[in-house]
Amino acid sequence: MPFSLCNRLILAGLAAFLFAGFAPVSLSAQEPAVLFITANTAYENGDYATAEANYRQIAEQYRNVSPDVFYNLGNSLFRLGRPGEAMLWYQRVLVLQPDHPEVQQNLKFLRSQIAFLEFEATGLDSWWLRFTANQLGGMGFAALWIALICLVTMVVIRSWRTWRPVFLLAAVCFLVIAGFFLWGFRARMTRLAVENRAIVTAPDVSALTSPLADAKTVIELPPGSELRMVEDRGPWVRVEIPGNIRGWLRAESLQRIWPLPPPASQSSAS
Amino acid sequence: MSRSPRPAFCLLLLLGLWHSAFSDRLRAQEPSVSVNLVGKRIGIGEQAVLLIKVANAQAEGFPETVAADGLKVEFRGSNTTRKFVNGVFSLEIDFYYQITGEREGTLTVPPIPFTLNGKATATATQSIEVFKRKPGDLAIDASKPYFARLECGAAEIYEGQTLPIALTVYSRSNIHQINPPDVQISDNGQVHAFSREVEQKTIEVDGYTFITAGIKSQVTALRPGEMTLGPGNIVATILESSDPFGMGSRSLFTQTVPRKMSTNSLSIVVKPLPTEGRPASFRMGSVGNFDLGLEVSPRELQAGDPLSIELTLSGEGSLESIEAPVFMPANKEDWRIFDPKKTIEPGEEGKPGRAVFTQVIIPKKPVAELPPFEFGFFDPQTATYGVRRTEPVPLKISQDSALAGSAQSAGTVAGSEYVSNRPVDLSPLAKPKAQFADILHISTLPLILRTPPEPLLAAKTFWLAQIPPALLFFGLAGWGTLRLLRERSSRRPKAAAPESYRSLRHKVDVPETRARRVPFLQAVLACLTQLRHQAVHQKSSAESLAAIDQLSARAQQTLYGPEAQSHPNQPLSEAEIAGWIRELDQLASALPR
Repeated sequence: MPFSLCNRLILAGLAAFLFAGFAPVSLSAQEPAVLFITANTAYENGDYATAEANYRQIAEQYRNVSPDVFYNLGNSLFRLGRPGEAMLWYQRVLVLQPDHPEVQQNLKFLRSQIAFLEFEATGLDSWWLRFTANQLGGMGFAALWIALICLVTMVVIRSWRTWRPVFLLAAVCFLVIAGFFLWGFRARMTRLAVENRAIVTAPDVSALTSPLADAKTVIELPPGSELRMVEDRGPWVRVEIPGNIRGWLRAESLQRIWPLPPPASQSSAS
Repeated sequence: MSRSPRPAFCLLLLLGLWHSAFSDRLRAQEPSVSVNLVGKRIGIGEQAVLLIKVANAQAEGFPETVAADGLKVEFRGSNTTRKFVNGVFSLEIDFYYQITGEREGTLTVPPIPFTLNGKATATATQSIEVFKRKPGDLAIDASKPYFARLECGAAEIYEGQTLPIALTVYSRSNIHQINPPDVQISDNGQVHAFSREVEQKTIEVDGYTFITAGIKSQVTALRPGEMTLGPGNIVATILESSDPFGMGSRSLFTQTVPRKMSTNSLSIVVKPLPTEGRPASFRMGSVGNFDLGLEVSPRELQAGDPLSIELTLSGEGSLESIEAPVFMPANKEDWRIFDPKKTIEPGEEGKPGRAVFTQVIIPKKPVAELPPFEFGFFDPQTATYGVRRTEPVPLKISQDSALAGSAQSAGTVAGSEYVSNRPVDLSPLAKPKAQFADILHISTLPLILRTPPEPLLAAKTFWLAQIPPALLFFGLAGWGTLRLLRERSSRRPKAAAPESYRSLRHKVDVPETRARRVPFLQAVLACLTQLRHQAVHQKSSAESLAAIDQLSARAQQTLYGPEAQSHPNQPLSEAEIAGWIRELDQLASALPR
């Protein structure tokens, strides 16, 4: 008999750990679902304003989120001739689901239509941007635990002495994987944090040399351009622009990608 | 007893020496007079010194001033030196006259009358050349221990032209450090920042050796007219000799002293630029001689995609004042032109730098080539205008949106690089073409809402998910540790148990023991000792203990008594042995097991 009861329990625990905690929490609500269908019908009938209002109500009023709602809202805004806001909602979809295929495709199309500026992700950054910070952290910690358990199993269980090289190799491999993902997790939480990024949503926006209305223009920013917020001074925001340029923008000309603005009821109360 | 005369004698001797040394009566030295004119060629207003050296004689009656044509001759004092060499005293007195030149020409210093040892005498006539120095002559300042000069390469420049200037500090001692200068300039010019590199030299000026420290800069003429440069103020830290103890050892001690200096002023004529032949692409400030380079990327793109343009201007002239080359398309409506961004890259040592203009240009529709950029400039060397123009760059611009994926945004320009003077491969890129001309349709899947993602380390589910592997890991590790500890304790050697009565009793029956008296009785005594231990441990009756003690005493008597001492090797009889064993067994059986 290759495995005793104790060993089977260990394997079962490992398997349970690997698959625990990764299933999304699914909720369904009747009212948002009705609104969603109504909005979809309005979109397909060409009533993009109604569709946009309904999608926005789902996105901004309810506490739970959906990549599909964000994606459809982005489409509606694009149809309404507001590409900057469309870009914003597409980017919000990527926060929830970095590999959303429809959004990736629409972004390619938008690039061909608008000369918006984007930060170029090179090297490891491009890898890490394919995952959310939580995915990177979850995979990193999981790999770390597996490596540690492999190591302790190799040392403690003497009846598996012949499998020791396999356990050692697995431990080293998982340690390397853990290091990669935890490094990416740290990068996504700091340097690549989505909370610092914003999108130009207003048309005819220019970055200025100083927070004054008559300051000189640094560069024109087409709607949809990606920015990194450096300093927030109320009506003015200092931003980093792709190409290692910095400038000042009016706060109302851009919107932070994440977190979402508070629901309308909360914002009105505050 | 009379007092010793020694102290009085010594005092008299010293007084005699002092008198002979410092009295005006000199012995064994002949009187002499010499006259030396220091500086036989001076500029107007400059000074020379006439030195009259009188040795071993009394000289007096020197006049305070001496009348001379074109010269001002003034008595400046004397200096007396006493020497004691080989037991002989000598006296030297130097008398100084300062001579100032008042007019140009070869002039004469007249004889100066005085009395030497009471006799009237006079110096010989001296000849001196007085000349007029040219303005800016460096030797004007050479009489000072330190000074600073401002120099430039030309007296006339064009509007917008940049001229190199140098500020030099001259010092007769070492220059330790110089601070950045403050050079004044009229409002039609601009002084650039001085370089941090200091060039040090040693030169001779008008007979004096100076150490110089020079720093360089540039001045740009902004408007026509007379431009006044200077004076400049500079603070230089100079290493000077000092004698903090007043012991005449100045060469041993030095200190750094900051000295503030003002330079001369320069007047430069700024000429206006000619209007004839001025090219359309000329922008004010482009004065010099420049070369223009161009790099474009990518060369294959879609209409609406950005083109990254890098224009490089290098050469002689003010890079700070030049503007970007002008884009000259036939139809400006075909292009969306962004403002260029200028970066100045300073050159290496002794080489001019370059100005790099980066610009984003977006073709609105497919065009065959990038039109030229033109840069007009005025060359002050030839006093003519010149134009540098880039060659048109062939582009492959597609109307189809299929190549959009290969094009990058303005901030992330990538792809093959095109240099205007380099042959390039114009073959199309082998990339799969994705066919789409609009955004994709909305998602109509059933709505699934989920909670917004919260930061991983703040999520309860994350920490709950850590419990099973942590339990598994620490359980395995704890189990292994406990097992290891248990194994270690089982491997520890136990303390040697005391020998039991049974084994001791067994030794009594061994034939080798029974054959000799001493070993047999020693074995019996060991058995009795063990029995007593057991009896005490088991709290046996006093009778038992007494019986054991009694038998022990008898055994010791037998072993160490007089009979045993006289016949130590005599064996016990079998009957005696049997008796001892019997009694031993009786005592042992009396104790509870």
